[in-house]
This record gives sequence, C-alpha cells and structure tokens, in this order.
Amino acid sequence: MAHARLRFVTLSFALLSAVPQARAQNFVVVDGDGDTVRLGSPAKRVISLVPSVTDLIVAMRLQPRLVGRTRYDKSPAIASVASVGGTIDPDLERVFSLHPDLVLAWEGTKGTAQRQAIGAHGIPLYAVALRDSAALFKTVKDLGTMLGSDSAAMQMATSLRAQLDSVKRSVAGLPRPTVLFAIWGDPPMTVGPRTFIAELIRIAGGRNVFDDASLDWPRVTVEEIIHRSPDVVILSVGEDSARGAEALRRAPGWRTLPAVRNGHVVGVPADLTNRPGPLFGVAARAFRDAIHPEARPR
Amino acid sequence: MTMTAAWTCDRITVRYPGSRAPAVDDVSLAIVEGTCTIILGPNGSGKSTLLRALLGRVPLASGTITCLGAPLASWPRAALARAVGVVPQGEHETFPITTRALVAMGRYPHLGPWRREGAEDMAAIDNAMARCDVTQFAERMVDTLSGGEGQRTRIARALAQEPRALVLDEPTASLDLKHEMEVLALLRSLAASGTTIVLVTHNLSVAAQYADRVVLLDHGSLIAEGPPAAVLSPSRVREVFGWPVELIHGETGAPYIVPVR
Amino acid sequence: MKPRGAPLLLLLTLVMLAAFALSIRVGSVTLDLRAVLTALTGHGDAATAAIVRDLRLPRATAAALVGAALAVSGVTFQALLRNALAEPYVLGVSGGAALGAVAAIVLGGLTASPTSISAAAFAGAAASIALVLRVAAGVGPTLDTRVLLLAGVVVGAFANAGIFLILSIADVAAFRSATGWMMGSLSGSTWAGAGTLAAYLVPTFVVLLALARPLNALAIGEDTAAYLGVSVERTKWLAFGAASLLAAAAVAAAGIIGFVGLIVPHAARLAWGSDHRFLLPASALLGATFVLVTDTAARTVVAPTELPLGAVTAIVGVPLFVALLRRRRS
Repeated sequence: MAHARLRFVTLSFALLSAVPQARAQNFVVVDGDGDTVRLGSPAKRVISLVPSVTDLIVAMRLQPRLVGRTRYDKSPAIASVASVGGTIDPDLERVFSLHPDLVLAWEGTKGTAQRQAIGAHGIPLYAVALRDSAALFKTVKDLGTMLGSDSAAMQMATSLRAQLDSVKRSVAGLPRPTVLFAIWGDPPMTVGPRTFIAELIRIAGGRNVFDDASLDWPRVTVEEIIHRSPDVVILSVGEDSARGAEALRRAPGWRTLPAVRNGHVVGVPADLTNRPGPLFGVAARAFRDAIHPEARPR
Repeated sequence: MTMTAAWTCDRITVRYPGSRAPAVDDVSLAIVEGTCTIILGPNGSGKSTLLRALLGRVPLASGTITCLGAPLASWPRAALARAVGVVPQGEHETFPITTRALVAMGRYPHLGPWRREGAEDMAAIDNAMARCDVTQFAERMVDTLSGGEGQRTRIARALAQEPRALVLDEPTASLDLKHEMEVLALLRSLAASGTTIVLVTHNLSVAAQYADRVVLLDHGSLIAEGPPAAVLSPSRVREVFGWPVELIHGETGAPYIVPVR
Repeated sequence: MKPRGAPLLLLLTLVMLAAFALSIRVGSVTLDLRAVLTALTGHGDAATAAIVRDLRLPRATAAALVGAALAVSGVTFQALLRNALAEPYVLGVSGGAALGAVAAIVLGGLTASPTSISAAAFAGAAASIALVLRVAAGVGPTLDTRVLLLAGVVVGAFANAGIFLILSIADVAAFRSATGWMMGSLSGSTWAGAGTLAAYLVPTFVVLLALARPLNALAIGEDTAAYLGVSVERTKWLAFGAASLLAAAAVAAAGIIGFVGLIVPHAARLAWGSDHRFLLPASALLGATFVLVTDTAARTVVAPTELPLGAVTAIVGVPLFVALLRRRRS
C-alpha cells in the first residue's frame, strides 16, 4: 500500500511539474514584420492568407489545423477547408466566423484595414516574409513553433536543406554560365539580385545576367538582353503555353540570341517560381538541370 | 424681265419632333428670281424655320418646295451650294481662322476634294471681300473682329460662292448704321443685277424700305404676302406684333414704320 | 515668317526622319551611322545586326505609325466634335480595347500570344465604337454629336468596370501583365504588326484628306457645312469611322498611349492654323516624331529598365502643352 501511494505521488509530481514546463515552452516567435507573436498554446484553428504558407502547412501534414485558406489555394488536400477570399482583401466576416486562434498574413499587407481589424479583434497574426531561402527556413521553424509541431518543421527543414545541398554539391567547381530568368511580356520582366529566384540561380551554379539591377522585378528591353547575351534562358511558363520556348524562336530579337538558337532555353513552371515554398528544392533542381544539364544525376 | 420662280412653296408644314404645334403651318408662297423678299414676324413665328425649309435643312411634314426649277429634295448638296449662298445667324468658329480663309470657304462648292484654288477662285474671293469692305482684315483672325465686321465677312463668304440667290438670317443685327446701310445697298444692287435675295429681319422699316415683297408670318402661318405697302398696314402690324405703329412716308415713297410711344 | 504649305510639310518630314534615325542609333548600345548602315546591309557583328534589323527598325516604324494614327485621329475628332479637348479615346475606344486585351491576358492565361492579345484589343475597340455609334444613331434622324460624347463616356465607364472585375480575379502574373499592357509599350513590335498598322493608316489617311474641306466646314457648324455644299451626315459617318479605326489600330498595336492625340493636333493648330489640308499631314508627321522621341526616351532614360510609353508621353506632353498655351497667350 505504501508502494502504490508512493507511485501515485511520484506520478502526480511528475505530471504537475510537466504542466509548468508546457506553459514555459512559450509559443513566441518574431514574425516577418519584426513583431512578436505570442500564443498561449499551439494554434489549432489557423487561417492562412498566404498560398505558399498553405502549401507549407500541407507539406508538413499539418492541414488538420487549417480552418481557412485563400481562394487561390486549389490543392485537393484542402478542398474541404473554407475559403475566406483573397490574400490582400479577405472577407473579414468569414475570418471572424471561423474563430481562428492564428492568422497568417503576408508581410506586404501591413497597413491594410483588414489586418488592423484582425489585430483589433485580438486574434494573433503572424506576418509571413518569404523573400529568400533564409526567410523560408525561418517561416518553417516558426510554423513548427506556433503549431506545436517542431518535429514536422524539423523534418521539412532537413528535407529542404538536403535537396539544396545536393544541388550545390552537384555543381561545385563548375564554371558559372550567365542565366536570364524571364517572364514573357512586352517588355519582358526579369529578376534582380535580392530575389529568391536570383538565389536559386546561384544555388544551381549560374550567374544572373541582370545581377546589377536595382529593382527586384525590373522590366528590361529585349535589346539589353541581346546586348548581355545570356548563356542560358530560363523561361517562366504556364501549363499550356503559346508563350513557351518555341515562341521565343519566332519572336523578334529573341530569335537572334545564341541561347535561343542553340536550344539553351528551358521552361520552368510558373508555380515553382512564383514564391518560395515546399517545392523550393524541386525548383533548385529544375534550375540546375537547366543550367548544368551535364551535372544531372543519372 | 422674266418672272421665273427662285422658290415655290406649296402648302408646306414643318413640325419639330416633340412639339404639338407646327413651326410652319400650311404655307404657300413664291419667290421670284431677281427680287428682294423679306420675311417678317414676331419671335416664334417660324421665320428661321421657313428659311431652313427653303434650304432643305428641315424635313417637311407635308407639302413640296421647288427651287430654281427642280424639286428641292432632288438638289445634291454641293449643287445647291453653288446656286444658293447662305449667311446664317449665330455662327461661331471653334478654332481660330483668318478672315480670308473664312471667305475662301465660299469656294468649296466649286472645288472638289483635291482641286486647289485657281485664279478665278482667288478673284471671286478678293471681289467678295472688296464688296463687303473687309479686305483690310484679310489676315486677322475672325474672332478678333467686331460683330459687324464678322457679319460682313460671312456675307463676303456667301458672295464668294457666286450664287444665284442669297439667303440671310438677320444680316444687319449687329451692324452699326453706316455698315447696315451699306449692306442693304449692296443687297439691293445684287438684286438689281439678278441675284435673288431672301432675308429675315426684325426691323420693320428696313423691310418696308428695301423689300420688293414682304412675307408676314405669325405662329407659323402666312398672314400676308405682297409689296410692303400692302402688307404692312398699321392695323395688321398692330395685330401681329402687338404694338401700335405709325407709317411715315419718306422721299422714296416707301413708308417708315415707327412704333408709337 | 512661319513656313506654310508644302515647305512646311517638307520640313516636318525631315524632322521626323531625324527622329527616326535617332531611334535607330540610340538604345542599350549607341550606334554610329556606319554601324547602322553595316547592320542594314547584312554585314557586321551579328548582335548589332539583330538589334538594328529585328528590334529597332520595326519598333521605330511602329512608333511612327502609331504616333501618326493617334494624331490624325485626334485632329479629326476635334473637328467633328467642335471641341479642342477631344481626343482619340473619347468614344470609348481605349476602354473597349483595354477590356479586350485584359480579358485575353487574364482569361486566356499564358496561352495568349501577343498577336491574339492585339486582335482582342482591336475587337474590343471595334465593339465599343459600334455600340457608341448605334446608341447615338438611334436617338434621331441625324448623328447627334452630344449623344455620341455621352455614349462614349458611358461605354468607357462600363468597360472600366469590366476591366476591374476581371483584374480582381487575376493572379499575380496575369495582373502584372494586364496592367503592363494598359500602360502602353512598343516593345513587342514586329514587321507584321507594323505592316498591319500601315495597311489601316494609309487608306484611312487618304479618306480623311479627301474630307479635309468638309472637316474645315464642319468645324464651324453643321448648318454652315451644309450651306457650303457638304454632305453632313455622310461626312460625319465616314470621318468618325476613320478616326475610330485609327485609334483602335493604334491601341491594339501599342496599348493605351495618351496625350499624343490631344497635344499634337493642338500644337499643330496653334502653330499653323486649322486648315485640315495641311493640319492632317502636319499632325501625322508631328505625331510620328513625338512618339519616336518618347519611345526612344522610354527605353534609354533608365536603361536597362524600360518605362511604360503611356507614362512618358504624359510626362513629356504636359509641360510641353503648358508651354504652348503660354506662348499663345503672349
């Protein structure tokens, strides 16, 4: 009988001391705007207003915590999750009616009325910054903390790192060809040095031919592209494109580029390059295959 | 002198869309070539509408008009413009234009789309400007001219068309005495040389003095038509215009019509 | 003494050719005359040849044609509407064209090629013109210009609503592409496109030139024009049709380039008077020059970035216009 009582006391003591532990675990993170987000307990009703973060949550298999998404999220895994509208202009009534305990918003919406309203309502809001790979890893980690699933976050981060390292290793020591990343337009759009796409080019063993641009998404003249004569052209394409690599062969100016004439044009799905997300590693591999086809593992 | 008709109106009626009363109501009249006909009446009597009808600018609800021997409706616009010169009222140029350029537009009916003005066109323009005493304004912008000078310019334009008939709507309204008299004398001399003159005026004395025939309208109907002395009796004037007048006979034999105070 | 008539037109032609030559020589790389000639004859460095023959030549040609089309269209609308503030887009052309192009870009997705976007823009412009004319013609026996203006405003507003609606469902890439189109650009100019423009511009210009005297008369008033022998209704329909066609072709080729159709006719009028026999060709040449110069500026001022042409024409045009007005006052 003393045995049982001792066991009971030990067990209760252990349990009781575990509780303050859990509270002291402190779900506190600093978000993309530099604000501190405090949660008392792991978030269970999350509304994600950022499609790429929704992708992350699904990839981390945390979608049961998701109660709201944007209308741009078309993945079948979250088809049953309610849509609350757009990234910048979500329907506040829907947001509030879902009783979220965490809202994930985009850093670019800082001044909007919607964000202020959510804040005024006392709902914790985390502003997502996804500029480059460092921001991506931070977001993954913070998601893990806020959703109380550090292990899932760690798994995702490890997997992404492994993919990126594998790509880096495969091109180590190889010469860096000049790369043009282009979104078709009149005039076409490319990327400046501080974007995540520029980072992808670097990781994949290339050099952004417009790494001196002062804007992040500058529109450039075709003339300038001809002048800089990139070795490789990576073209952002949709599912079925009349504006794909084939069309470049016929476009005035473009068709005289050595890269186009020699077939060094690769189309990369726009989904991979619209924003950094769980497919960041896949994007890096796609870039590597375009820039260094010889380094592709057999 | 042959008595050919410049215009013949046979029971014409004009209705503007949306108004119940006709603007011109069952009017018949004949305007003889080479005469000076003056159309008179109070405001709203249909004078301007009658003028527009003679020029084919309003559709007729009923009746027909013949102009210079052919049905008015059959006249192509350009041909009609070669035969009839018009001096409208209240014209306003949107963009600045010189006096000479405005008068030169009188030659348009004679020129096709591509032909440049020739020697005889230039002569007609110079001639018209001289007769209307606007030659000294040739290079000035029309909007810098006084009301009267502008009016004379537009008369010159109509003259430059070298028309068989001249139709004028209140041509002396903004002219000073000297120029008013000069324009009227010009019109009379044109009539004497065979040009048909049709004009609308408010001025009863001018009508009495200068018209060969007067057409008196009231509320769209033809009240009387004939030589001024016959049409403009004091009783009729009082009835139509609503004010008593006196006739004063001058040396010419034609009366002056003076309102009683 | 200001030159007039034929010597004036010759002078303006020379100025335009100078602007054309500038446009060929200047860009990311400045080429001297010899380099240009070598490139034209097919010799010399391949990249330069590509730049000159494949990019700058068709682009300069298109720029000149677009400028001429917009200026001539503006002149005609100003005469027909008897209003110095009329311009080519007054009958809802820009709204309709933008609606067509934006629909093609956003709803057609990445399958929309430059040619099909251009065609959609033209179709949109044509539809709005037809609608506006239909509305105005239905009101009375003649084409009432005041009703035309009102109908243009209404159709334009309707088109704008449609554009906003479509943009609200667009994703980021399509949104960027659509707004880029609306800001105007000659970047994608091809020889085929320039040829199409010329095919629209040349016969239409001839028709308007034949209507020069009637336009002079109409600019004073419809009655006056009729009394001077002008077939007023026929002239109005022909001229409105021609001017709208020019505006539609220009917008389909280059997006919405504003100010050219308003400022160039104005400047030409202030300088050389309102006789359309000279005003039409003078405005065409002046308009061509204006767009050539502004397009060259758009692609060189902040190279390698290219500025939207519609913005540059406004930035250049407004102070120019104010200066012109001041000169007239004094």
